[in-house]
Amino acid sequence: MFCRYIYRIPFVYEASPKMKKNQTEETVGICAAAGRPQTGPRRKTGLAGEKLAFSFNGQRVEGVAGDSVAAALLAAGYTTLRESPRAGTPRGPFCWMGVCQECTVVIDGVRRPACRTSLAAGMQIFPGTIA
Amino acid sequence: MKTALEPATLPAPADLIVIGAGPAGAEAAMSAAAQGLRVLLLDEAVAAGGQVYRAPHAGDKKSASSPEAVAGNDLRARLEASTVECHFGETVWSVSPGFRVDSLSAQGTRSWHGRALITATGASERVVPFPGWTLPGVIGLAGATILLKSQGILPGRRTLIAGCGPLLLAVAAGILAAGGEVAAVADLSPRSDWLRKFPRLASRPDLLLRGAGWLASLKRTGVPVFSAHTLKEVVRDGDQLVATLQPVDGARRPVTGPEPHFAVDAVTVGHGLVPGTDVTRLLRARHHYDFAQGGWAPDLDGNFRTNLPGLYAVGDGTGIAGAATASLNGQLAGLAAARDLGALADTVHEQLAARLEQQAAKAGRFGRAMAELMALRPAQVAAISPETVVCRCEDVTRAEIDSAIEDGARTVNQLKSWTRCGMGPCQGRMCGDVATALMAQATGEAPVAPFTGRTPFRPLPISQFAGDCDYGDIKLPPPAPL
Repeated sequence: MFCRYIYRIPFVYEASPKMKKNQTEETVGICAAAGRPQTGPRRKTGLAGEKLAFSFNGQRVEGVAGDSVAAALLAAGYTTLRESPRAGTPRGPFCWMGVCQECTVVIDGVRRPACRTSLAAGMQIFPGTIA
Repeated sequence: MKTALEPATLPAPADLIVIGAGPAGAEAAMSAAAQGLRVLLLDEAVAAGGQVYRAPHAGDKKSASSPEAVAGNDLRARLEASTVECHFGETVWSVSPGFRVDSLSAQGTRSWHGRALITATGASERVVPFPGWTLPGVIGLAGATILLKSQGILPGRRTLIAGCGPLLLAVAAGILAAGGEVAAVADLSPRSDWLRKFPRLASRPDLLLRGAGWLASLKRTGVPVFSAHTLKEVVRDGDQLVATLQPVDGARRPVTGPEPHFAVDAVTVGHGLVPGTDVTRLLRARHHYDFAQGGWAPDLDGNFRTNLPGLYAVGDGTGIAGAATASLNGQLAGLAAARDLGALADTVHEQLAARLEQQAAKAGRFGRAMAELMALRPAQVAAISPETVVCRCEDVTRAEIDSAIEDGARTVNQLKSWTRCGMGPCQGRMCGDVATALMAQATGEAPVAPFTGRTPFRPLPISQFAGDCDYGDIKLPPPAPL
């Protein structure tokens, strides 16, 4: 009766066939669109501050001094920051307080939660998807 | 040579270490330090205040006058003026008896030593899973308050707000005030639930008045408020999210009826708070289950002592009771630790504590009434559909959890090793509460014990953990003679 759990014991494992099916039908299309910023402001009215330039996935992005990395990315329209390791579905910041780890990105080579990291000019940021 | 295995310098032990610089932890640290103790205060954030009193965004002048910002600025100013040694940006990832606390910052990992330890790690938000809750753009309700308070940003241009408790109105009013659009508010609680709590809520007329102001701003802008409605599902449609609501009965069980849906670009949803018990569970302190206060919490005596000598716990991590209660209880916990460490005479302690205890009892009535309104009802758990992902980190669905229970899993630790539910980077903080409730419902044995506490509390880059340690540095014992 334990047989069906065995394939999950290694740290790296295959997505189940059902999940793979979901992945091809819906999520791949979404992920392809996810790198494209949406239009329109999300900033609170009246917010001001020094502009900080950084990059996400090779694209130049601008944030405001005082932003967290996650807030700067959301303000620029990036809602998807990584894909989940098993089903490969798109994920973005969820709890905004460092608990859920959904907003993990790679910042200058180190994996860190974007909501808990203060933005600095020149940061090179990549999605937190585990290849 | 400096390696992670042999720390180069071991700082002198402090009298007291406090983990968490929210209202509970910061007040505890200050009241103990005022008695002459050497106190270390550690927090993951860049400044004190916890989630409730987070410092506003540097460029956001408007939020600087909110009651939370004023209370937070006062807390940070008093902390600055105190003798408490504050270390921010330190993510605690382990605590060992004795007490040794290990934390990670941008500079790497550090160890701290203290004779006594107060854990004040607050709460995290519960979101009962529904189809679509993993979609980007769907965020926690508490997360939305953080965006508005301290990130200078709105969840979206047009947001749907769902769940239960006072944050629903706070977030809706906050979004409107910041120039955003609210599509609708869906409150899981029927109006009768709020009315039943009214006498206890009226003990804080200031907060009640603030709530009335929020409601008035919704009325003014014509935002529809759906009482006794749950968020059934969210689906992605191009660049938009479509959120569907469904009516619920008094027990919060979904019932058939009109299912309004809204096209939005953000959804915020939250179903109450869960005490953060990482430290007390890791150290194997005794815990109890309190449905009304958010779930499992450490057993405490009247002086915030756990059953382990030298280990104290205070704030929402010991049961949800709100910020005002946390501040007062924090002061009391600091005094109790000072007394136990010999810095405060028993008679003086009793004098100082008596008045605070009275105030804390009053504040607790309001906080606990709010917590009960947000407590997890069995019908919410029963309504989770089989294909819904329960464990976000590992994409484990309810159907997989149910089949593991059918196969004989009887503890959530078994569930974890069989399905990986709770094994991901959040360490079961997002799914643990619902996983135990699912198991309790399936087996009919309540309450089910939570996940065993494990280190690291937070993911830890192995490179920072290992420092500049090299395989060649490891001293190997000579091989045993054959």
